[in-house]
Amino acid sequence: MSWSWLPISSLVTRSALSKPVTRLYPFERRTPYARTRGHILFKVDNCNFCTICAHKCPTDAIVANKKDKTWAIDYSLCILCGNCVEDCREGCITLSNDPHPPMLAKEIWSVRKDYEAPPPPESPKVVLPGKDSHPS
Amino acid sequence: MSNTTIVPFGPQHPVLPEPIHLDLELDDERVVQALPSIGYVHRGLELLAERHDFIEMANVAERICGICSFIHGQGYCQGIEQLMGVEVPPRAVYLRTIWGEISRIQSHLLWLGLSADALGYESLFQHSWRIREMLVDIIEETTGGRVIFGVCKVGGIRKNVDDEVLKAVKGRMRDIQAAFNEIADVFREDPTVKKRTVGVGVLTAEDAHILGAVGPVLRGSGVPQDTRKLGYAAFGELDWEPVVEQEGDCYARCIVRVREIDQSFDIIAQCLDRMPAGEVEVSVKGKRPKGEAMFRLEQPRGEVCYYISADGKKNLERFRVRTPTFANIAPLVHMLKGCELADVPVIVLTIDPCVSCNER
Amino acid sequence: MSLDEPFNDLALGDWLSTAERHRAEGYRLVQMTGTARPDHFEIMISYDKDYRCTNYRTLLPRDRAELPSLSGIFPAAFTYENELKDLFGIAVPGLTVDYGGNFLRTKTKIPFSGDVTVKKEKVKPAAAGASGSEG
Repeated sequence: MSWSWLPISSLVTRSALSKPVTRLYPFERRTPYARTRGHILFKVDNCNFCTICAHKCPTDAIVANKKDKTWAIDYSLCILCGNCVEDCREGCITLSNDPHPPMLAKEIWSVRKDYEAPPPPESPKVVLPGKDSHPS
Repeated sequence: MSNTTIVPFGPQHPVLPEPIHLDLELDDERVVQALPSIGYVHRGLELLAERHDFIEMANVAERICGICSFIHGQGYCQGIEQLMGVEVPPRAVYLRTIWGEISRIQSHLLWLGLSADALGYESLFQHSWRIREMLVDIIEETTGGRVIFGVCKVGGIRKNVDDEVLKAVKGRMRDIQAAFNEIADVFREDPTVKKRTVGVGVLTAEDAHILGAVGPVLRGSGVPQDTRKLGYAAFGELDWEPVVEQEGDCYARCIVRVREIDQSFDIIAQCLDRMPAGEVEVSVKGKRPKGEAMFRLEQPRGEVCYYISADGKKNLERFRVRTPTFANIAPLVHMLKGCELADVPVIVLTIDPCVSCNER
Repeated sequence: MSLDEPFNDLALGDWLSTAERHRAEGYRLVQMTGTARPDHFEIMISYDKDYRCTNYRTLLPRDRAELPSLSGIFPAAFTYENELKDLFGIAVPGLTVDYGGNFLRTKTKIPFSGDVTVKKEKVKPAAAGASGSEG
């Protein structure tokens, strides 16, 4: 026996006496760091559907449609590069530092902006009696 | 013709979970010849470079390997910057150097843990990975990712790291180094480790040179070659010397890695002391790479070669990576000749095979 | 770092003699690779000594893509040459360890041999299905 068992045995004794360095994961979670890239969040309110985020996305995870006012992200494709966050001029896209929960299936989050109040219907022309009226 | 048997080794979990297959021709317990075969997970990433924007390709380059992810990204970005003639700000260069060294330490610790596991030394394995976890936490805190750092981009790095964070990192690095030194002695002197590794799989300096071995395999055979000596990133300004061991056996390769971890801690401390202030990126808007270049970087596993050829378009003409494991296959075959069957896992492990990164 | 290490053109006939010369002078084989061009293949090789890389490039015609093997001179060349064989379909007579095109098990045989042209990828983003109601 050489002296070399001393370091490992002191290490083993120490770790036997102290509390475990591991966590009981699902019950006990580490708070994520401020910079941890967790998942992408989107707020539709300010979005003007410029679709820059969809163009800048290297994996085409984001799809935005100007006509339908929809915005969708496929979390299974997103690589959290943060290009969309940097390039969003309206500041709609943010990076949350909570890791995305494990996916059991492909998760696509799609957002649709509610239609703005529909343009006021053309006010019916006041038809004055006695005069010829045209519907338009 | 002697009576030989052929024993298949791999591709499912041969020592470590890497898809490499070896056909071992055995005479009794002795290996007469070994025939490696790879290519189970070939991904054709090199072809992808011809279809993708060169800026987006940095993300792909980083995904060549899960362990040396940062250095692949760094290598790719450095190459493109060189072809475009872009000078990266010094702070970005130093941060890149630090991250590169942190990934070297965590890669070596991962390897040391796995090798302890292969030797049947479970508690050492657990302790190596416990220390590695502290480093991965530092990586997460400074970059935001644990495996894929995602901080390198053409023209610099994505996000600056505050000086306070770096100061805290410096203190924590010192603690981690102290924790590592406790287990380093076990690797150096433990009879369990020594019995399985000393005198096993000897590769002489001449053979290592001719067979084109790289990284710790080459340095474990007494050849002081370390690609970081080319002075890329900040390595030209720092004070360090390649780690060399003379014996050329599995033990020497293990010790090279142990000593390289210590050296990397030292390099990180030097970088943190000299950390320049200022910007971390330059704009590369409108610039396109043009020309061709072959350049080399040192990864935890050894020298990696990149060849980039571009003609000023959005896509590269050709992107080629020669990963260190690819260069270490020929030395591995040589080392396996004449060894005992029971030593095969240890020898395969000591080249630190990263077959997946082999199959770009 | 590397821009001062240009690729020297080399005639195919000097391929073996250059390798022999470098081996005698104590160089190390760093890497071998190929590039597919419209009418020929480029084969590039790098030798290193004392951190200096010497690079050579030779051209192979597409209709007679045959490269003499260096694996007798540099034993490590067998991996690179098998790779060239599997990715580009280049014949390498004289290989010491010949896998016969099965070194890399790619789904498509000789996938890199095509012209270097930018193929337009089919744009089919996965999230498209989600926004559903469009159209």
